[in-house]
Amino acid sequence: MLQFILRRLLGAIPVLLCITLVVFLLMFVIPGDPITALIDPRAAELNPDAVKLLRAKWGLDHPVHIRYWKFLCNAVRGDLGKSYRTNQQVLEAVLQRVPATLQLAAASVAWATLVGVSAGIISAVKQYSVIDFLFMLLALIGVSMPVFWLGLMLMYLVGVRWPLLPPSGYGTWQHLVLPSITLGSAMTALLARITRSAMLNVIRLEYITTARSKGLAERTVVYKHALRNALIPVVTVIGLQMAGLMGGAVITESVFGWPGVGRLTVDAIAWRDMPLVQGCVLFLACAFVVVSLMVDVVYALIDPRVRYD
Amino acid sequence: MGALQYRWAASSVWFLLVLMVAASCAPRPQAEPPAAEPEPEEPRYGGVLTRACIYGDPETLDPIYATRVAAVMHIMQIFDGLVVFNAEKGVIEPELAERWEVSADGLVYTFYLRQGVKFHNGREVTAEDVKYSLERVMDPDNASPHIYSFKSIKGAEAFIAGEAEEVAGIQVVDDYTLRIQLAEVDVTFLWELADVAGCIVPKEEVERLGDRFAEQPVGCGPFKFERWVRDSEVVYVAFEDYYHGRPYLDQIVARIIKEPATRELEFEAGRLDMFVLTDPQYVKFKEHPEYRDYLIEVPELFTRHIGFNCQREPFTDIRVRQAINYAIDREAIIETVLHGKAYPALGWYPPTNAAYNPEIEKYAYPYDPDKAAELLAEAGHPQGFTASILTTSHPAWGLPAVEAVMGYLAEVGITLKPELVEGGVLRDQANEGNYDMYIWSYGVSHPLLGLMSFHSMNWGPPGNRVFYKNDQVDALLDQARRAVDWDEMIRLCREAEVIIVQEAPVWFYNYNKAVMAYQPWVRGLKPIPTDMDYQPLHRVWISK
Repeated sequence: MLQFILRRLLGAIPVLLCITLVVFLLMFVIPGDPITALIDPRAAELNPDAVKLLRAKWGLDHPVHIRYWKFLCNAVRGDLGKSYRTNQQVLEAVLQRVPATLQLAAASVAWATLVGVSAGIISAVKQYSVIDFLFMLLALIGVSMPVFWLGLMLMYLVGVRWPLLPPSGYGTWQHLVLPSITLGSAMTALLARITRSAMLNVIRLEYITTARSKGLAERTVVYKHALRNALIPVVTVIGLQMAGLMGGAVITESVFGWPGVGRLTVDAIAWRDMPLVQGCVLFLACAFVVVSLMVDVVYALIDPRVRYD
Repeated sequence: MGALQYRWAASSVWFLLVLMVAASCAPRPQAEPPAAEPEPEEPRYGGVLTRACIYGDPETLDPIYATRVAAVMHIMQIFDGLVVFNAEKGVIEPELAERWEVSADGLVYTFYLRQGVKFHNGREVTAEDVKYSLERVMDPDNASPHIYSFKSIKGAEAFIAGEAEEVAGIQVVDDYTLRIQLAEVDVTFLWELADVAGCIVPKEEVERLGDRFAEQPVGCGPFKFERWVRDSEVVYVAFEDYYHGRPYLDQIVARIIKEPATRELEFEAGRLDMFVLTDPQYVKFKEHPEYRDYLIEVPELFTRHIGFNCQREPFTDIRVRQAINYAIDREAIIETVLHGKAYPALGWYPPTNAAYNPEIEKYAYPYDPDKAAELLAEAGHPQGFTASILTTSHPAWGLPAVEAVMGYLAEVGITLKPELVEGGVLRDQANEGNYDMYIWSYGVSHPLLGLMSFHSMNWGPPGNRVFYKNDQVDALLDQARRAVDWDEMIRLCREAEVIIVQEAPVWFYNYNKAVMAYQPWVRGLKPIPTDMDYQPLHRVWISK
């Protein structure tokens, strides 16, 4: 297993290199000059020499391949450079946002898993019942509902009309409730549907009939025999969603004023802040690698047939 | 599952949905419109003011690196400069310098500093601090975007080039007297001093904190920096020893909320005391029984316009440019596209600019499509022509406005083809003169700088993106640049503006109506035309 993990981590290095190159080229190709995007246009036109000075300061007067090479040389030493816009160390800027991102992603995944998997199990066990119909309809609504709209509705209903929770902001557990529900709603719906379908596939297999015929309690059959084997696709979805939520929460973060990596990434792109964009993308890529590795490890834990030796 | 069960389940879901929608649509139990609350006679000390930062997280809190509203709105609360721009009156006023003298030739400024002014670390501010702060801006090692802001000071260019240890023209006479010698007359010098780069910083704190000074600033302004949670909030507290007296407020919490709907909900929840409205929000708030009495409105110092490429056919002909000005009903567009949240532009200067000329109305272009058709015919385009227009997607001065303009121009035979581009691209193309027309918003607070974008020496990137040239305008602006007397400079600028309006290198569209909504308990906010978020908060107080 350890060898497998090491192999996977080593395999991630060329992936990360490719990602940095693609991001670098994309940022180079998209229109707009970082310096004129960063300083006020009026200041730029009143002081055109200052623009030249800033270009030199940030090395923007060098050819693109030299800039990329310098970036790589510094990156392997752990120096991702400074943000053009804030002059802050990129690594520090990203790490400052990581706790907020992790809190939001973890809370969303936690409640989505709890609610989604439970609903999926109940739906599968009570297939074609009223409750199954209700859960699946709600799941359909959950998947279809725009995050932006849901966020604003929750803010209005729970934050303004019945002021139970702060509508937006960051800092306390109360601030976490609405954004995590918003962000987790689509995932909850997805998990409910995936769990239901996985459970239905497993419940029809012969070993479940055998378990029942042995006189095991229904609860044991469902949770010990059926659920464990139905979990593989569920874990895959949770893993992919978890990694996606790290950087894909930008709409939720914007609506709720949540200081996460997603917002930082979008702002960095808007400001053409190349070092910061690279830092954010590297973090998100690493998150994907780590989470998918964790998913593979969990496969082995929940399914004894999976071996990586 | 039986049909009955299905019906029951479906009904339940519909019931839930209807409940949700009904809850959101039902009128809120609204308070009665507030009775005219008697103003307390004396301002009160204490309280926390929560404001919204609509432009996002500040890029820095170090004055020498700040260029945008997102940063300057905080820096101006933490730092002070020698002088300050009174945006309401459009004039420069004393701040750390209680007075100053200017020599007859306009080259020597002598500033007399207030005594007993303290930095937030407790040390007194002296003339040495002013010299250090100005030289810090010009130090090439610091690569400040404002490095050339004070280049008119004698010796500044040598210092910037690294050829001198200090700026020769800045002389500390004593602890409270500073003399600055200019290399040439610069009518914008005091304005540059009043700008963010002119903030005074304590040397020992800058050296102690290094790069961290941008995150833990120490100034001598009315509020002391307390904390900055990136992308979340900036907090500052009252500075007890502020030389104008302690601010009324105990604390200011500036929350980073870029999403307009979120700001509105936070305001409605009473968790935000003030915020700048967007166009659609203005429609709602100006009719709102609770909030309509708590709005401040002001024409911002920006002129939204459509620029014509004056070096490209058919816009080389003044009559074509004038015809377009006559052909469009700007008031109607303001009402429909902008929901009334703008003031029609009759000339280049907004009414809040110090050089605004009430007489400009005589030269303005009313909506007159017949006159437009007549001028086009005279110019040899009786059937009109086709032209392209560069535009962004900006809701107020982008594609929606262009679409409205297209209809008016079509009536006089002009076919407009919009090219939707991103702001930076528009600027680059306009700088290169690679366009027929563009739509943009432009403004600076200094009357002369605002008009220099029509001087022929500034074609392209320096600001004259319409490639306009008129020798008389050039001469007037050159005279204004050398004018020692403020009133004389204003007169020359007004004269130049009249010619510019007559020759119409742009279609004068509108000046933004900046609107700030505030809670009934907030007192002392002012209509600030530079940006409504540039509120001098030390005189703001809370009545509850």
